[in-house]
Formats: sequence, C-alpha cells, structure tokens
Amino acid sequence: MNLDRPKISSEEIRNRQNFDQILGNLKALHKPFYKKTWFWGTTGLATVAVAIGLSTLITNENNLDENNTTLASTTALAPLSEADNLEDTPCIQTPVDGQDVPYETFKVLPGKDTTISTANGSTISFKAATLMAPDNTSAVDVKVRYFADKASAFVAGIPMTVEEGAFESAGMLEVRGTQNGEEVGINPKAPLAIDMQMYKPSEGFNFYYLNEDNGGWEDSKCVYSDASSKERKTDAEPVAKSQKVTLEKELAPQEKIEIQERIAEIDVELVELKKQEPQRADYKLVENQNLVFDLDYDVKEFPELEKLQGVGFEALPNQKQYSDIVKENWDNVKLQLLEEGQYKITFIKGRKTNYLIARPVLSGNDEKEAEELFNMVMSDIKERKEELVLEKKALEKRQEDVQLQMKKLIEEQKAARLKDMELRKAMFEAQQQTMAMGNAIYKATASFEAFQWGVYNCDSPRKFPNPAPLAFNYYSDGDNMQVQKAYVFSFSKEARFEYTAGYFGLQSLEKIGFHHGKNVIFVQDKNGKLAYASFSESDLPKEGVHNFKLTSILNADFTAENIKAILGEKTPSTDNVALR
Amino acid sequence: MSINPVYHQTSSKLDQERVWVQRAKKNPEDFGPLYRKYHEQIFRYVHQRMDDTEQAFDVTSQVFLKAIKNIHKFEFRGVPFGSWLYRIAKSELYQAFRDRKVKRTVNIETLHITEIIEEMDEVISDENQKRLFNAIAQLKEEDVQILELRYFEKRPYKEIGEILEITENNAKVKSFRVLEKLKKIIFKN
Repeated sequence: MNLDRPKISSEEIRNRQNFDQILGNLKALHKPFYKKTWFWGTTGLATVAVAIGLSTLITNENNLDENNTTLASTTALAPLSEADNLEDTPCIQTPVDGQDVPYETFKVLPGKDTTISTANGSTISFKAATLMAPDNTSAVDVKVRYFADKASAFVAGIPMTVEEGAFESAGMLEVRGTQNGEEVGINPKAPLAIDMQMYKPSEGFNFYYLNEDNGGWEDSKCVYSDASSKERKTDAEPVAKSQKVTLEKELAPQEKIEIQERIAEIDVELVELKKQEPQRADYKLVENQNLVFDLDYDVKEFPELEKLQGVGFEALPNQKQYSDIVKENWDNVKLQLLEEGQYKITFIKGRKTNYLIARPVLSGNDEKEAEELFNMVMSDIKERKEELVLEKKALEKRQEDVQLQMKKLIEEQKAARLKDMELRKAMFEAQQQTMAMGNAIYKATASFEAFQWGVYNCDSPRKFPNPAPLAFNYYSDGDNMQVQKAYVFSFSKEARFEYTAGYFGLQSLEKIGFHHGKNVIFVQDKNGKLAYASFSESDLPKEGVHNFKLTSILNADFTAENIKAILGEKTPSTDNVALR
Repeated sequence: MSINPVYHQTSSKLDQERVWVQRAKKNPEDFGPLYRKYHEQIFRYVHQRMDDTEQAFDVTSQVFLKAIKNIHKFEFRGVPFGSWLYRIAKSELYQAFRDRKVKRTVNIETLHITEIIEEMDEVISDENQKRLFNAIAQLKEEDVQILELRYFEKRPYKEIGEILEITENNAKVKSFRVLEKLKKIIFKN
C-alpha cells in the first residue's frame, strides 16, 4: 500500500496519448478472412453449406472405408520434432524463462481426413474441412503436449487455480495449429475429434477448457469411457446442446446482427419519442371539459394571467371537494401560484373556506392556435412512430426468416455430429471387445470435440487449505529470500496451490497454508531464483515463526524430469487405469 | 460524502458520445474523440491500482485497443460507454496481475483515510488513521475494489454497479459492508 503517492499531472497524461499507435496495433491484429463476420454472412453461409455437403459426402465414403478396413486404419503421422516449441500465451507462463515442456509436432495437410496419435496414446482426428488455413496446399504444424503429472504442468506454467481451489488433474492436453507461424482456424462445423488418454479413473472429475482471454477454466463437455465401469458414459444430448449454442454464435450471419442492431435503435428512438410527446397541459389546453370553471380575479395581482386573456381554469383530477365547490356561490376567491404553473384557489364564504388545485386553460383564438400547434407536434411524432413500428415489424419478420434458415442449418450440423459421435462410440466399443479377446489392456479416455486450440483438462477442484497461523521465513544458501511466489504441492490433494505476494484473498502469500501429510513448497523471488523444501504438515510448529530451509534450483535444472524427482512422481501409465 | 463530478455526464454529452460511438463502429479511426475524452480517466483508474507508471500506460493502451476491436459489440441499451471502458480496464488489469506483469498496489491519500473515519463516525486521530491503514491491508480484493471505487475515487453507486456488474443497490450494500468490516477489524485489534 502506498500513502500519498505524488499525482501525475493531466498534462503529462495527455502528452502520452498516442492514438495513431493504437490504430497501428489494431491493424497488426487484422483477422484472417475466415474469422470475419462477413464470411459467416448470407453469402458465406451458402458457400459453407456447399462445402459441408461435399465434405459430408466424402466423410460418408471414408466412414464406409474405415468400417471395412477395421480400426487400424487411422493414419498416425510420426512426430517430427519434440523441441519445436511455441511461445507461451499470456496466461500460460513458465515460471523459468527458457524452460518449458516440449511439444510433439505433426504435419497435417488441410483438405484431408487425418488422425494423429500422440506419444501417450491420445488421438486427434481432423476432417478434410477441419483446418481453415490460408494455404490449403501446405501442411499445418499441429503441436501437442500432454501433461501426465503435476511436474510437467508446473514447468509449462499451466495455471491450475480455479475460484477458491486448485485442480487435481486426471489428464490434460494442449493442442495448437499454425501455418507459417500464424494460427490457423478450426472450422466450427468440423471440429477436432480428440480421444484423450487419462491416467486416473474419470469418477469425480469434470472437463474444462482454459479460456486464454481471461485465464479462467470454463466447463466443457466430453464423453468418458472407463474400464472400471466398462460403460461408456454418453453425454450426447448436453454435447449437442452446447454445440448448438456455439454454432448459433458462430453462424450468426451479418444480416441477423444488423437486424438486431436496427431493432435496438428503433426501440431507443420509440422510447425517446414517447418522452417527447406533447402534453395538453404544457400548451394550456383543456384535458377534461367537466373540470373547467371560470373565475373573477384581480389581474393586477396575477399579471401572467392577464397576458393569457380570457383564461379559465381546469381543476386537477381526483379532488373530491370539486363537486361541492362548484355547487356553491362563493363571496370571495384567492389565488396562490404553485410550482409548474398550477394555482391553489381558495374559495371563501363567511367563515367557510375550501380550495382546489387548478391550472389555467386557454379559450377562444388562443386556444385554437395552441390546439393547432399541439396537433402539429403530436402528428409529427405519431407519423414517425408509425414509420418506426412498421419498420420494426418488417425487421422482426425478416429476423424470423433468418432464424429459421439458421435453425435448419444447425439441425443439419447437429445430426451430422451425432452421427459421427455414434460412429466413434461404435468404434470404441469394438476396440474394447477386441482388447477383451486378447490380453486386455483397459484404458480410460475422455472423448471430446475441440472448436478452439488450447488446453483441455479432466479436473477436480481441491480447496485451498486454511491459512497457517504462522509467519514464515525462507532461507536458501544462507540468504533470506524475498519471496514473490510460492507453489505448494499437496500430496494428499494431488494439486498445486499458488500464492503470490501482493495478492488478496486465498492466493495471497500471507495466507499460505498446507494440507495434512506431505507437502513440497517451491518459492521464487523477484529475480526468478527458485528453491524448494519437502516437509510434512505435522512437522510445522502450531504457532510462531517457521524458517524454511530451502534447496535452490538452478534455472537449467528446472525441467519436468527434475521436478518429478523432487516430487517423487512417476509418469503414470495411461494403461490399466481402472485396475490401479 | 461528496461525489467526483468527473464521473457525471449531462444528457447533451451523452448524445455527443452516442454519435461518436456510431461513427467509431463504422470506422475505427473515428474512435479518436472517445480516446481523447476517456484516456486520462482510464489511465488514472489503472494507475491507481499499480506502482509502475509505464506499465499503467501500457495497460491503458491495451484497454483502448480492446475497446476499438470490440466496439461493434457495444450497445447503448446496456451500460454507458464510460462504464463499458472501465469494465475492459478492470479485466485487463486483472489479466496483468495474473500474468505477473505488474504488482497490485493500493494507493491511498491521507484525505481518504480521514473521510472514511468521518464516515464511520469515529474520531480523526493519528492512532485511528494508522489502524484504518492496517485494516485496509487485511481486506479481501473484492472489498478493496469497492473501497477504491466508492471512497477513493468517489464514484456514484450506479457507476460502481455498472463497472462491477452488480445492481446499484448491491453496490450500496457492499459499500456499507466494507465500512462495517473495517470497523470490525479495527475494533478487534
């Protein structure tokens, strides 16, 4: 916290404005054509529909081939390089620069059905229409990393914090696709079909996708197949629903967006027009003839009424005393000007008084002129309102038509996907039967469709431990480290809990805590220096200060293998998962 | 408590802004007037929450880049344009904190401290100022946000609601609760 930090002057801030630079950066972010809205507009949809039609035909033929040539017909290409890394994305930041978990790289040609198999046995299938690359004749570099342990996810810098907890993972995979260094698009109508091998049974785990725009994990859908239950848990209907939402979003044609925008504008203008509608009272016109009465009053006292010539009064509605007052002959009357041009009129007869709130109303020529003016303004507004209402009706009709077209297209896509899912389910069941016949090796798999490149994870959140009632010092090589970041690996929770200096809440370094049993803490100072200590929570004092004596790690030693050794982790097998 | 007039807009200003937004939707280069109008406000919002001035300028540029990129999604039926920009700023800030590019700091003026003490109906003394300063350090991030928006930046509840995506009433309740929490922490100690 800073107290009374010197303020920066407005002039200095203004001098730093650079709108041209922002425009320049915007141009650098120029989207490829297939990500633009117009591409998904009416013309684009028609083109895509033709392309889908063709690809469905081709796919059906391929499916027939696949059925005839058994399950081994998936064409896995050998990985080319394991050292060819991509740069970290903003939310995936390895703790030590220069150290990372390498990707397996595959060359995949757009326009061709291809299935690749990763080193851990996961498969990724591409339809001919999946990869939307600028150059369809050149291969796309598909890079895949599989995180089978806590160490590799740590070294790669995958964020594992979710709300008030950290994820225990049962299998996590990252997939990226580029051509000449530029990310290629994934056709939302032919997403990647991924069968990810897991290293724990699926029970208790959910499926998530890492939203790299905000660093948060989002619920996603997959179909688990576990050897333990020997049943494939089909989640087809929710999958179809979530796909519908995605498709609607992605296929929304430009015309639909424009219609919605115009309807919104019309609604705003209609509300504005309603506010602008003239009120008869503003023009001193009669609203209810039954409430109009005349008065004799001294115009010297009320010069504003003299100007109006022959003015009468209209009592405001809902004054119960009105009928009594008009029946009576009064000796005297007093006027008092109130707010908004209204008058309080007090009627006097002997000791008896009563009053009315009334407003002046015009008569004769003045009334005629005011009526004309009122009608003219009202008529203009009415005319404009009618125009807008008609336009809105026409737009709503057109919106319905566009919606119907989209619905039809979505239904077609949904049917095609369900068919594909059924086929893959059948393939999986056949695979299980085949394995059961030989010496069975059971596997747990998460099958899902990927509409975006990124990280997919079977996870279960584990709560942050309660803050320890202790103060901590961190000593490494005799020096007291000024810790910026701490990573606590809890063995009982199988998760990595991160704490940062300057944060608030459970992720604050001051709120560090430990679950029961064995823990390993890694700490990092502002220069990136890393050190660690293994300990059991029961070894810590109950209160006071605890000095961690840490072993430092050279940056070059920050590899998944070394971290695994520190954590005592073995790379788990994805085979016989359910039998463990 | 007084409210900062910078955060109030007249209807004619809003009409002008509406025209600018419509133009910017058609051509990003027409975003210029909006950029000039809001640059300082957004910069101050960002800088208030971090130490590094250069990083604050960078994050501010990022906010406007995102705003230009996404202006087609902005609709006047929702929040006012200014609040929409603050929402982007909030999201960019927290992204920067998560990426560890910048450190989250809370910047307080002595005047704010005395105003909060007054709001709590407590005596303004050095001791109470010190206690309050320490109590703020113990608040959760969510509460610090409310404290900054309401008591340091003096924004109206309506705008706080729009920035934090909560109702105006909820913003009022939360502001009240932050004071209560501070009181509790102070008197517990």
